[in-house]
Amino acid sequence: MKYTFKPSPVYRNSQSTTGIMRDLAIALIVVLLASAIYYGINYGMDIALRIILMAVFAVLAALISEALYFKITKVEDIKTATLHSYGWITALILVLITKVDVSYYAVIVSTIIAVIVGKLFFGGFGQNIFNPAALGEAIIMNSFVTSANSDVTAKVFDAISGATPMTSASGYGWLIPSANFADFISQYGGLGNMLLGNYPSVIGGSCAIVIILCGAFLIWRKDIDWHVSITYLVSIFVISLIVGLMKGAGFSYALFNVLGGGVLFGAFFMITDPVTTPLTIPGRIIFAVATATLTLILRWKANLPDGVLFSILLMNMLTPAIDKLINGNQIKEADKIRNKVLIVSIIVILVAILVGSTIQSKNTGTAYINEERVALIATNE
Amino acid sequence: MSFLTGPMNHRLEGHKDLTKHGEVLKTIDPDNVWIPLGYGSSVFTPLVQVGDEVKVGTKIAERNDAFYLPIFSSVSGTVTAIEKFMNGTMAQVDHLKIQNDHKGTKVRAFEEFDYEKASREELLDFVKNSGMQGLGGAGFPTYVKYNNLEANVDYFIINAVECEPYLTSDYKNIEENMDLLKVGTLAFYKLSNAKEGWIAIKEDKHEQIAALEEAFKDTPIEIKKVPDLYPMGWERTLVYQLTKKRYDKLPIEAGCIVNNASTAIALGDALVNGMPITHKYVTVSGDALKEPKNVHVPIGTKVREIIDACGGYQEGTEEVFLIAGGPMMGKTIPNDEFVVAAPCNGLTVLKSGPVEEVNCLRCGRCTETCPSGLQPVTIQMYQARNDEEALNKLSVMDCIECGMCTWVCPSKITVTENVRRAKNFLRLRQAKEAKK
Repeated sequence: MKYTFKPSPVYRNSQSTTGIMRDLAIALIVVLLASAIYYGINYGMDIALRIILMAVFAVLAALISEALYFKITKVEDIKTATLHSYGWITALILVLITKVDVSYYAVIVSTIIAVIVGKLFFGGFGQNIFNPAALGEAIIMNSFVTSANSDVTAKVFDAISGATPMTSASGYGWLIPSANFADFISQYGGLGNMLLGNYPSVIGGSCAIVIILCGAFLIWRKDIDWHVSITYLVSIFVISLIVGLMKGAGFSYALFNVLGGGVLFGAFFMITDPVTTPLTIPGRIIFAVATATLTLILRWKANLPDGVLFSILLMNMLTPAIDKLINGNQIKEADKIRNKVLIVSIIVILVAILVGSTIQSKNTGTAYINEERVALIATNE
Repeated sequence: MSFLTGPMNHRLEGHKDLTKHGEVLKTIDPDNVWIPLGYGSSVFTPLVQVGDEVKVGTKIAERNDAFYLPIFSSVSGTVTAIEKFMNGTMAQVDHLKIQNDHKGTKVRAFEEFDYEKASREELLDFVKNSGMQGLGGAGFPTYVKYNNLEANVDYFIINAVECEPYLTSDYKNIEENMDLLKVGTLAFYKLSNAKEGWIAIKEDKHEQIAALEEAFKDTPIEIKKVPDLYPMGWERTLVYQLTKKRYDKLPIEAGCIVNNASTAIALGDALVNGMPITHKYVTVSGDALKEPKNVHVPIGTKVREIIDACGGYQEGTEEVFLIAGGPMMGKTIPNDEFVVAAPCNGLTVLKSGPVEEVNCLRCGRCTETCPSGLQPVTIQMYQARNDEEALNKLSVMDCIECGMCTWVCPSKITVTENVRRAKNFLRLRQAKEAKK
């Protein structure tokens, strides 16, 4: 008999990183399929097929470019290295946060940059500073806007004059007074329709309820930390409710902020990326509150359709600082850590409310209400 | 345990049914025993010489540093040699080899002693001279806990939690020696002068809870159920679970004294039968063993003989982890030539296969489950950089090496070992400082 020596313990939990990534991939594919079905029903099978192909191309681009990178850097076991780099997750998320009219080559180039520059150059899986998928989408948004496939754009977005709920809200200066809210939201079939995701936006933004269910699945499987998702959603809701109430917009405005755009997808699939977010629960709570604040400030003040992506990228840079802030013995310094979380969160929320108090509604009557869209929904019903 | 810290524990697959219900094998009577003359950092001075005749219960060695502890022969026969080899803590120590004459001649080691009539001081002396030691794994002399008790003790706790996976030796010991447990517990309770006395046991051991409640119904001792979580049997976790109090160094700061159930049974044996710790209940279990069971063996029995008595290894197994203790805190020993020492509760034999280690994904599970509230993976990071200041800030020395961080790690990184390295690094630095 051979007796293996290994420092204790040799007993292991059954949960593995590869298992976590597999669960994540399943959830992402479910969201992708739900989106493909939505686009297929509303805009034709070719759009549905296009979504599937975008995902396939992105995953292949990630796998091939990583394998090549490992070959060039003379990694011995290329297959294992590629498998343990989890590039396909980045690829799937990237497709889900991009728009359906983005050209295939833009998706492929961004995926390659995301996994190679965004991840492998930093030292590989676990070492990257920025959420690679968010980085890839930022590249698409900044470099490939004009490369969009105009046929697809015409088919999907021109029907609504390019006004997704996000761009439309942006036209309003991200402040829709209660009096106008019903009109505004009716062009997207109301908040209930937004929950079902029955409106065009980024690919993965299309079905809030599916995202919530997939998020619940991941939380149940202990693949993601619920603290961070829930804190993010609650913070978005609370801050936009306070600012909304100050400005004569109400409860439904706050709900719109949570349901619209990439917030839900970000809450369950991006801000939960453990690699690029703080290590500890207190750290992650600070991270979530600050990201929520930035998301809203970017919506209000920046010239962007949605703030989720850039708020996550900006906060990724602060992850090491937050980790340093929380370092210490969690039992002996429990009070200190709790106070740090409270103080930082309160300051950040106050900043959000202060910035929020300066926003003005660009209330231009019904200018941002799209008659065609309203008619379309009316006929659907 | 709060919103901000994570649970600081986790349920482990216990595999206790492998050995919980079977008979205890008591027929192992080895031709030779080797009594270890050291455990941890302590060294024992032999009181007998090669050639001496000894009986079961003859005092053969004692520890003479600040923590006096006598040890006794576990068989009757002749001392034949002093041999140095690896013990169950991976240290090379001298062992007193005794050839067993298989007669089992006993000598009563202690005079009859009535703890109910004796004064506290007399009882304390009895505990000291009878060689009572922490049988939960520490091997630390028990009387020290009761020495110079300045603070008032609020709670006296008997630890019957046994949270290590696979191990059921305490369970079987209690099952077979309920009357001795009662005597020992009441004697310790008297010694502690505590306001309340508790026996803590995992809530899933329904039969034993009923048996304990029956046995202790006319005593002031209360049975306390604790959840099936690891490391519930660790003093700090147990004291916090029962009293919601934290302490810095010793449980007495929280008004608690904790003793292992097996230690209480040993004291009961010493009081009733006048016999010291000579035999141990040892759980021999694991997925690479043919017939997992509990054995009752003389201290100093070679592990090889015990494994053979349990049918040996499963067929087709080529490589195993042979662990002195349970799979979480026990040490893997690279041979089967070591012996059962008094604090040893189990031998776990697990199949050893390749483990796929991947990069840390910074999931933070090690931080959330650490019972000491540490940040193991952060410690690992600063350990790699030899950053002494940061390591001190992370209170590395509070680590008890319970193994939770390695167990929970989904990337299969040996986190516990890396924290151990950080501890060793700090110890060396401190030793260097002290030299200056």
